[in-house]
Amino acid sequence: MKDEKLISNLVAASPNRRSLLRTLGIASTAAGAVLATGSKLSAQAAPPSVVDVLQFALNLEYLEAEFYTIATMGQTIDQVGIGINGTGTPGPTTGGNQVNFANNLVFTGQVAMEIGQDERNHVTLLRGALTQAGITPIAKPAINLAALASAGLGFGNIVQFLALARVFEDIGVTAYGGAAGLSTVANSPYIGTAAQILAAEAEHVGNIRLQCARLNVTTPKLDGVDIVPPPAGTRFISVDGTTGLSSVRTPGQVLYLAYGMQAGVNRGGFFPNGANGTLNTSSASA
Amino acid sequence: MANKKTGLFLLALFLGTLSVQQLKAVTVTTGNWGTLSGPFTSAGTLANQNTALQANFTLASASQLTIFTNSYGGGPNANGTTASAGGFMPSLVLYNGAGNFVAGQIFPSPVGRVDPATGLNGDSYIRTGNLMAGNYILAISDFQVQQPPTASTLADGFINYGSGTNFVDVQGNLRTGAYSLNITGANGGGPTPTIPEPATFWMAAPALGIAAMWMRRRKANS
Repeated sequence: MKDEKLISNLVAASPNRRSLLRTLGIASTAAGAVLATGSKLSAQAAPPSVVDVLQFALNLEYLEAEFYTIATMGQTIDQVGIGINGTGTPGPTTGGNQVNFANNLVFTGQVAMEIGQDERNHVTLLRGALTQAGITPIAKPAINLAALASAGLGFGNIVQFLALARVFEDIGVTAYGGAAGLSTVANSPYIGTAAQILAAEAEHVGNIRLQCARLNVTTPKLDGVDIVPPPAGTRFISVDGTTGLSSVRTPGQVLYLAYGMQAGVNRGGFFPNGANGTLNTSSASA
Repeated sequence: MANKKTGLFLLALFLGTLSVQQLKAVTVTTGNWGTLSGPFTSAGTLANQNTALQANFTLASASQLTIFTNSYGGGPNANGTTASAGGFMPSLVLYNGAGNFVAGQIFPSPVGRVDPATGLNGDSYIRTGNLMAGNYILAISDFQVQQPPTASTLADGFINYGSGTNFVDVQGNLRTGAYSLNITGANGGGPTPTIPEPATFWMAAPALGIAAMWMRRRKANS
């Protein structure tokens, strides 16, 4: 297949082949085969449908929208008029409170308000796109925003807020990056909109990472593809310094993090009853 | 194995959140503006850059407030007087009577004027949602005096990212300790300052000197 030959040639030419393969989101066994033999990549499993991917993305947008809306306004997204009903198992959003955005050294509160508006718009956009296609969007699943509160990530102050925002935004960018690479998405009419949402999320993560660096908010490494910002890490920009590319994650790898770092499960962490839609099981970490 | 990894992850997160830059403590002075009715102006001077003013006021009825300064760039006050340019770049933060954050902002103000001495819009502006009747606290300080990012409420105090002595703006221009603070909308009292439409690029070009540059370049090329 043309795509496999292109990827094989890129890998062979790369000065850091292991890093490039990880960035391209290729499964570890296939990557190992390429490194060992230099042969063409074996055929990948059939990718999820574009509808499944959009529904999966909607779970993440519900999560981010609730996080920012509660942090900035003290209200849930349905309380401010965003639709949340649909298929699957609906559930309440628990945990979280309005954050004390009294430190304006790097405009944290104003940025949070803007990002919150964007995330609510993404929820509305995805629900609208699915509805227009004759598909009922998934309902907002149960969300537990206090999943990492015991570790100091949440709503107690700006430090806790930024630490959690960094986690959500970097996961979001890699999720959309991974989805855009799927043939079912890339060949669909939705690729343009997906690219625009990815760009928006990249704007968010760049700003949040700079705020973490400026306000000395430490965030740990999430998994093998996570690029940690200062002060804990060295890169302000969430891009692999050897490839110039953003990391990507599969839905399973995203859910590994969202479910509280558990593999092979369908609930936990921020989604106590699981994500809605067909893509709802976590895999091993990236 | 998952539990051990999760436990280490949580420990790393907890230790990380304890790491906070240690900065200067700030002197807090207080004021009491009483029950607001109609357009309100408070003007004064902060003793030094290491000071924050916390002023209490009361709303007798639900109100949507516009709070703005014009001491950086000068301009008309809500009480009909006129503020001179030259004051510090302010930070404004509004809390409820219990010290919980309501709204906060620094520059630029959408109704602020550019100080011709610096070319900057350094005033601050807050437009609140509908506030319930009750007691509130407004904090005004130099823009480098902020609550620490670890603060949960007003009671957690302020820190100073600046020198502690001189007021300077974001580009290092020396300023005075003067402030002129306005509040409109209390108990329905206006008027509310109108936010102008952003100027288009070509309308702003002469002010930016871009047109002059283009003319010089065209002349040089001809």
